[in-house]
Amino acid sequence: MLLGLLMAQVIVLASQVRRPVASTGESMSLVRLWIVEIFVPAEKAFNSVGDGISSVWHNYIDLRHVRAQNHDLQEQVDRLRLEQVSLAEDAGQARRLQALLAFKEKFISQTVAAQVIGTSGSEHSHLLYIDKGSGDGIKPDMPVITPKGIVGKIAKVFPGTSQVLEINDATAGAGVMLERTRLRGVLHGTPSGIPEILHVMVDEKIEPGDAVVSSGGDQIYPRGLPIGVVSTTTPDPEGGPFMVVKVKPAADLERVEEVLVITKVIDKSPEAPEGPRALRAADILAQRLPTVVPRAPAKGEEPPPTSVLYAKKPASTTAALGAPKSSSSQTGTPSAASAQTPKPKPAVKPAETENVTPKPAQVEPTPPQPVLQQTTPVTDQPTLETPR
Amino acid sequence: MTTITYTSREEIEVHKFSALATVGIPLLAIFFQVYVSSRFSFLKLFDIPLLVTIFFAVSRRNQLAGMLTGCAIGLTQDAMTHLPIGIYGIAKTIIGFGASSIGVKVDVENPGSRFLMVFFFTFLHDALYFIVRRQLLAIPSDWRTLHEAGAALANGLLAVVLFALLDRTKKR
Repeated sequence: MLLGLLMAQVIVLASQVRRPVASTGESMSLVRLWIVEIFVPAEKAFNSVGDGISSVWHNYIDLRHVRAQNHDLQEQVDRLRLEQVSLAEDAGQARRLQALLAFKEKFISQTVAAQVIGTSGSEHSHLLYIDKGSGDGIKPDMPVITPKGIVGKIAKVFPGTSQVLEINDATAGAGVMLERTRLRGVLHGTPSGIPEILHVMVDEKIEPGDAVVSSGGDQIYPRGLPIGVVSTTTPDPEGGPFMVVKVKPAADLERVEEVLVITKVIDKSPEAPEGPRALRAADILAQRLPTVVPRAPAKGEEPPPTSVLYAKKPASTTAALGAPKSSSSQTGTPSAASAQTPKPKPAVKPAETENVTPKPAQVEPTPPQPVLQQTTPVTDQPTLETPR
Repeated sequence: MTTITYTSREEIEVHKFSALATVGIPLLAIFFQVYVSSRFSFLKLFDIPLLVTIFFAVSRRNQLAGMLTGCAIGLTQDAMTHLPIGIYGIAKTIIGFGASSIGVKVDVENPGSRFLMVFFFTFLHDALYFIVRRQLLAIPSDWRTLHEAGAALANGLLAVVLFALLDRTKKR
């Protein structure tokens, strides 16, 4: 009886006393801290034993059909490479346009990989425990993702573990956007574990299968991360002007084993892609103007500015762009032969060509080639897709 | 040979447990619940800490012990969630009290009565949890009768097996 009463008093006391966690500054119930610290080491131990057994199985025993799988994967890689080429073209164009508009975007710059070691054990609390805590730089509200999509965010941080609140929990939410229609909304978890987008008007054209991505409006999840796909759309059961849009999460929230915690996100303006560029109007004009081949710089002299870029090529020399570089031009050291070339003359105004990497003339006799693409960095002036 | 009847309170056997079993079994149950359900999510349907609460309550046949056991197990379970501490605590304290009260009057050694008792208490536990969560804390909750009935059925069946195993930890 006495013990029971004392125990009850200790529990009541502990539930009211809160201890700040050093790294996060967030207050933490002592009862919760103690209990989590009791269970987590055992969970980690079981997890490592399980991983060891699993590793032995996967690395030594379950190696049948590996050759066939390897072959299939190789084919898949080849196919993906082809897709990558076309996607890179689109991405390059998008980045150029974003650079023109001085568009700022949030980029994920740092993540911490973590392993799921447990759950809340309750149907009413969609919560995961991961094996990384405040000691690993984890802080509350950091987004947690898998390669498939968003899992949730960090709810509470302990020294050696953290709680991850899944996006399908009834107390969770996220700012989302429909990829096809660009419609924005708020995703909320539900007690049944199927998240819904709230306050969507019935006349919006949303179809099952539409991809749902994070909008970035919640200041937690970076923009554009996959969240899931629309599974069903039903009219409001209460007859209101809204409809219920249910979403199937992209990440398999019931079977999450490894996750990435996004620990750092930076604001960055996308840079225009390096490499081949579209022809600029100034380039075309320069090609039409009569010019002379640039003079090679004397020893110790700075190479001429950028006139070489726009110089008309003489028949005996290749004036730079688009042509294969000689070894001397790659290193930027003028060769002895280059000293015998005629003096260059700027063909365009310096203002148009500032910040362009100086390049000495090349003298190796190569067949003349049409100047179509630049291979050196140029200014961030707008480029024209079609020459006037 | 002593004959145990269900009508006389004094004749009903009161069981005791070692300190190791008293502390270890509830901790093991909670550990199993939080660790194994991360590997097999369907196991969240079972509430093994609740089964342990009922088992200790009906075996000891002491209402105070039943309440304290339910309270301790419930609070520990609460601490593993992100929700306020006390929801499971209140629900399991009431279940501990109820189960120990029933244990005084009903035969709880019979598999059939064990099944029915656990079925009823699981349903009651979920209802209490729902009321506390929704009415006291205003956290969004759904009451799904069919789902709760299914969970009660599953827990009742598991209890028949689990109680038979836990009977071995009783002090003779």
